[in-house]
Amino acid sequence: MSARLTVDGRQVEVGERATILDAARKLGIVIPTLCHADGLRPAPSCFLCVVQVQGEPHLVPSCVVPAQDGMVVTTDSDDIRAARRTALELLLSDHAGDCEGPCTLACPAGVDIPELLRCLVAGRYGEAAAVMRERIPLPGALSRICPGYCERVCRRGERDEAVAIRALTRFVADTEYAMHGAHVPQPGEPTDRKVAIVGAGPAGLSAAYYLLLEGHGCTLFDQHAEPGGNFRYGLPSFRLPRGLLDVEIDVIRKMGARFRLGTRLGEDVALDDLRREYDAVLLAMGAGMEAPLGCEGGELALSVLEFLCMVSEGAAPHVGGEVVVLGDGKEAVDAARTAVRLGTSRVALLAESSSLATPFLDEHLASARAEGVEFVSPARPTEIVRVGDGRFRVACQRDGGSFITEASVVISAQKRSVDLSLVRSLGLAVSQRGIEVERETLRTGLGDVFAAGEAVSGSSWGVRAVAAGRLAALCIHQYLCGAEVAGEHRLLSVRMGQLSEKERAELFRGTPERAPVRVPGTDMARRKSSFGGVEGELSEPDAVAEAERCLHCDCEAKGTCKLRRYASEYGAVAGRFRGERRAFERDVSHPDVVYEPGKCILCGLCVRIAEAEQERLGMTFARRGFVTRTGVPFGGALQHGLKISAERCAAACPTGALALRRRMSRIDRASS
Amino acid sequence: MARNPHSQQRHAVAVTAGSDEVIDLRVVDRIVEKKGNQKSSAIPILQAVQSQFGYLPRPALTRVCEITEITPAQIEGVATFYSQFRQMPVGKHLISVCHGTACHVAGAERVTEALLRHLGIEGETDTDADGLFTVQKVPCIGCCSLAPVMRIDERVYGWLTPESAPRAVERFLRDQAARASGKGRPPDARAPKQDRAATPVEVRVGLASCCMASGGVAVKDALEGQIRKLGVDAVVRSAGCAGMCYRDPVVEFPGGARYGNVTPDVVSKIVRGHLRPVGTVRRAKEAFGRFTDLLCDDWAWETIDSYAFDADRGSVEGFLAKQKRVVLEGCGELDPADIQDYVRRGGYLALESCVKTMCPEDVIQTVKASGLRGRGGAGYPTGHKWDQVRHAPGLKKYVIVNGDEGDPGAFMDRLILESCPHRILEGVAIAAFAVGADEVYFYVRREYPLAVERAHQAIRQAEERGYLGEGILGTDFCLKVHVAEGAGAFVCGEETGLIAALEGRRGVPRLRPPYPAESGLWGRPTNINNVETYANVPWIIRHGPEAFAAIGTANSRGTKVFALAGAINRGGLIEVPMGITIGEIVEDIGGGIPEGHTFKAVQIGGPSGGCIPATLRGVRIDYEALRQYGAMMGSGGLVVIDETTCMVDVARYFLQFTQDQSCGQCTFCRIGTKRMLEILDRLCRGDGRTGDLELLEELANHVRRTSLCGLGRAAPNPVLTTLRYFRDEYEAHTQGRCPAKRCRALIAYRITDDCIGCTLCAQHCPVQAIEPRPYEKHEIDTDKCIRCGTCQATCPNAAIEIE
Repeated sequence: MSARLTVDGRQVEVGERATILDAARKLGIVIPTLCHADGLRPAPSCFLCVVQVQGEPHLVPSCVVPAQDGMVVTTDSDDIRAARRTALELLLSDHAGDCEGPCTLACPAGVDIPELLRCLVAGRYGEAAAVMRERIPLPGALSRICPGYCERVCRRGERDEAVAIRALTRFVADTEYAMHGAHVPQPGEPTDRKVAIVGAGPAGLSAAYYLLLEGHGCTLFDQHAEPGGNFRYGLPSFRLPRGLLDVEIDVIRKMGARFRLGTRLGEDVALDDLRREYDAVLLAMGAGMEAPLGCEGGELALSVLEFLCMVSEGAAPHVGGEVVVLGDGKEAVDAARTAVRLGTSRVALLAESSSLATPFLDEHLASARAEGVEFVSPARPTEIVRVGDGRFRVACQRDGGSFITEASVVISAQKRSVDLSLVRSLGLAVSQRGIEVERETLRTGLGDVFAAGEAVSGSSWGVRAVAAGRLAALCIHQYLCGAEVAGEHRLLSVRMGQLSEKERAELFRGTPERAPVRVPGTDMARRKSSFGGVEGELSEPDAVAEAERCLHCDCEAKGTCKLRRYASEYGAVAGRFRGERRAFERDVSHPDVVYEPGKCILCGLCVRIAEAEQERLGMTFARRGFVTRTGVPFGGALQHGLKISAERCAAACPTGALALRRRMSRIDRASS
Repeated sequence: MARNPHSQQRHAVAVTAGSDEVIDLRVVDRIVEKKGNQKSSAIPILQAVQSQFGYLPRPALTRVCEITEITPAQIEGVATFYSQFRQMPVGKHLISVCHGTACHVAGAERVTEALLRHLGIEGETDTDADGLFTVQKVPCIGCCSLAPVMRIDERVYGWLTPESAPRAVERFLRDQAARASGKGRPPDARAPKQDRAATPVEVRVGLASCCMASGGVAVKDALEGQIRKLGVDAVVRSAGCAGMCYRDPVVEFPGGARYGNVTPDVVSKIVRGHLRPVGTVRRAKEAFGRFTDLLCDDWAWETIDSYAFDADRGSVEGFLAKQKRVVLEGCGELDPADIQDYVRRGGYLALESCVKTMCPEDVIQTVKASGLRGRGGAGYPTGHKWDQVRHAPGLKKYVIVNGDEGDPGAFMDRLILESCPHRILEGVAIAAFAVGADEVYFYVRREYPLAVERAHQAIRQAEERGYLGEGILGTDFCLKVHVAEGAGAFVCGEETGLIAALEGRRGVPRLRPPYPAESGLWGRPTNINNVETYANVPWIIRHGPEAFAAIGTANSRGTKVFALAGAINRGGLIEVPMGITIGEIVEDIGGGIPEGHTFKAVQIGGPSGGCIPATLRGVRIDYEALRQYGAMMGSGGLVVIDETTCMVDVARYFLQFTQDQSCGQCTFCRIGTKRMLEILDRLCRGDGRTGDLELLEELANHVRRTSLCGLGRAAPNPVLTTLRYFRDEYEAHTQGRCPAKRCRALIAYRITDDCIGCTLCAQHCPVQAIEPRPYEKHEIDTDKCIRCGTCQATCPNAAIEIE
């Protein structure tokens, strides 16, 4: 007997035994499900597929309710969405696992670091570099200057030391360049759309790279004679070799970027002209204005930007015997270390805050100290006076007392920002730090004008500028396509947060107990007297050994997980319901499938599949209520429970609880 | 221990003892032989294995899988689902502390803590170091009128306090030792025969579990001893419970003289007041005995009149006046162990008239006309359900008696089963006749051992007399009745969960429709009603549907049995006509709130029901009316709450219960109720956060609307009703105050200037938080204080207050 019913206002006829879900599918209406699989007996548990049946006070799971004659069903409403979202949030609150590695989430650019390391271990360096370029188009540069957010959160660090991720990304980039030269990606099919990018620094270059991949034309305007912006003019070459920067910029040039150098916005070219000539404009001109030193005689100090730019252009000023650097940012440290290399006998760094502005400076500062920079903090300059002989006397306050020091050069490294008056004159709003934009889309008040990088954020890290450039490209692409400019659609990520002792042991099991590889350094005498690189290179075996230390915290199913997909789609908030949750566990007994019970949402698909396949032991539910678990009967290992149906179970598992053992890279997985 | 890192023993889904233990597998084989090797035998087999070994040894389970159709997945799933089954060996004696509603509000938590402290049980373990005692919390023993209650093995101890509970354990040990050394009561070889030719004098003593817990057995023994001594031709019959639990144990003599709260000490006097000794020697002895009693027995000075019901006739009349006994007719008078007693009072006549003079349709019509609705809680019209089963296609049909009364605070099913099992059997037989079934499953909670025993006994007797079995009363109607013991899962009170349990599966409910009437046990049309519903049926047949329909309200006909407990003068089992108000129940029947306290609310319907505030005392007992106020009839727990009970704590208590009892199948019930409970826990700890109440309410509504079965859908009711009527108490908790001064994290005990320095509190404090200082004002060290309340209870001068 068939049934005629109405689903979302449309009539449909279905056969006997059909469910509401079947009826909806027949109409092409998609209802999310986690615990349902065709061909298996229905056992509703997730309640994601709930729908409203007219006259029924409860929401009912469509996967099991029979379609009946005359039923009137609604599959989507605010009410239903709220129920589904809550179901997802509840499931997430008892789901122990990290979707992405903590490293990836910490990385401002979001590089899939575990994947990159898997490619590296597999010897597929090109693919490793490709993983990097998905997020960072200047991998060689960034691997050298990045403060390493990733390494700070690396779970391996809870055991011995963090994986040397930056050294490994450097190895990946350098190896690729050395073996094949830099890879130039194929730009996208041309779209006839053109974007003007003001500023050829990290943000502008990054935006250009991703816009070119989409087929949009890009012209980069920059006031300097060479592209690179802050990477070229604000960073000393011992940190970022110019040759490498040229190679990486060249990739973007080869992809079709045009450069209009020596061109200054507001002087040589007007924003209105750009808006007229181009389909969109990206303002990425950096933060080239330094705040004045707030003490008497402050104007006597040399601006750090000016100083580094002069050095970079080969016109280093004569620094004489002693250099005093006033400031507490990374530029101050760069200036001090540069001064050492210019042959100064004494370099003092006077910082106002006792820890420099961010903890990421620790290692930078340690290098500076090793190179002989004196570090005095907290010290606040009160007065600078010229004392003749081209020398200066700097008076400082410290701990209520005061001291005086003398120097031949005083460098001031204060907070930087974009030229705010210029921005205002362009008719754009400004925030405290720079150009005001919509946070998610980087769009300014002028709909076709976007802004990114230090022009928006003020002084920041290169990796953030690169990430912002990518986001700008994405939003400009949305704009150019006529789509809603919505920013990046990010998948929700569950984070385990602090692990218990037991969970940590679970995570560490199966990874080699290998001590970290030491990245060789350069001889200190050479280091202090030249602008060559500070760190030596990793050998290939060392790099692989180091990469093998990765715990692969990211989920095997991060790309396929239905829980994650629906949670993202329904706007679920992972931390809305907090409380007791399962422990992270990992059963690696099975040759093909890894079982992580902490991620299980009790859909019971594996139990039903094992039953259908007549596994001898199979899987079962044990206990009841909140502590219900799936597992092999009698506490057996997965290898004994699933002898014939492991792969089918893994394929059906809606989360990463049962997942095929990870091949070492995505490519492997695709081919297997 | 070297272990293969891949062996993954730690992923054991259930912690089972090591497999190195040696057990006799032939025992297992014999169990299987007896219980059958089908999948549906899983629970009976596991129950038998457990009673054999005290727990479920893994080799035994493996063996079961080898020789039956039961798979490892099934057995593991079932063995870990039901609370009854233990995966670890237990102590020699099992202490089950009741955490039913009445016990909870009377301080079961503190009693449990005192026991654990006394036995030195700490942390994750539940058994003492010597392996002598295992302490477990159980949902409800069904002796609510004696709250707080615990059971040690089969003995029940009531009215416990943190101080008396450890003493009860010691008493238990002494009794054990005495029994072992043969000093205990000698086995009674001369027990009077039950069925004598001549009609002897009958003395009845109430012996339902509640009566037994208050010492009924000892009273019965004393009665028998006394009767032997006097040589009179009298028998002591165990009667069921009259419901007057506040007077337990009750003894009744011919002519209706009744005595309440009887102790073995007063038995001799009471007996001598009614029965004269036989023979001169005995009389002389008796006279002498009276004389010596006068000389040396304190009791002699007390007259037995204080035990007679006449002494508080007002109270008894008050208790009974507004009741109407349909289901409980004869309870407390009938000997539940004797079918003749039932038959003498018109028992099985209804069945006889059905099978001999009526056709099934007539029976259904009669039940429909009576307006009887299911007494399990939801109130579905019984006649309609029977009609559906009757007309469902298929030849094989089943009838199930739902006796899985799991609600904490409810004990009506137990009492009916214990006091009048034949009435239920008769009702069931009529139902089976009406729907066309030939097999009945009687599903009874295992926590009610006496009920199980009486069900078995009653079935045997009824079969012998031809009321059950082949060719009933000379007709071709046949009926086989099986008894299945529940293994401890509240969710099995849900009909589809119960069916799952009968089929040997995890007691996981499924979505309805299809209803069991269409597809029930093993996919066959099945009629399920609860005990009380069936117990109504014989009365309806005998008195006619009109008489039944004349009782109650328009939509709720007949009577309802409630277990009245909590802060009330006269607690017990009551049967009231539908339409009576809550106020009448509390004040007239229950005799009001104990002096010095005020009526705050009633919790009606247990974990699925809600709290109705005292201001709504005019609300009538009626399915629809109760639902309108957020509560529900439920199966009939009715706990009266006074001002000393915190409503947030009550909500938390019920949610804790449903959370523990959730089958874990659907997201909303499994995780949603857990998150709700965590919010309530936070509030009671004083850690509430802003937005907690809103989040709680939102989640409660989702759980209510989107859970799969009745348990989940009703789980938020206690929370929603207390939020509705007592929101101010919730708000006080978010600010770190408990207005009822109940939540321990939010209160402190303090000794006032009224302290007379008697040192009693210091002597009784279990954690030495009070230093004894004779004749001086004492002080409580709040850091040491565990807020057990012992000091307040022992202080003779009410000098301890809570702030």
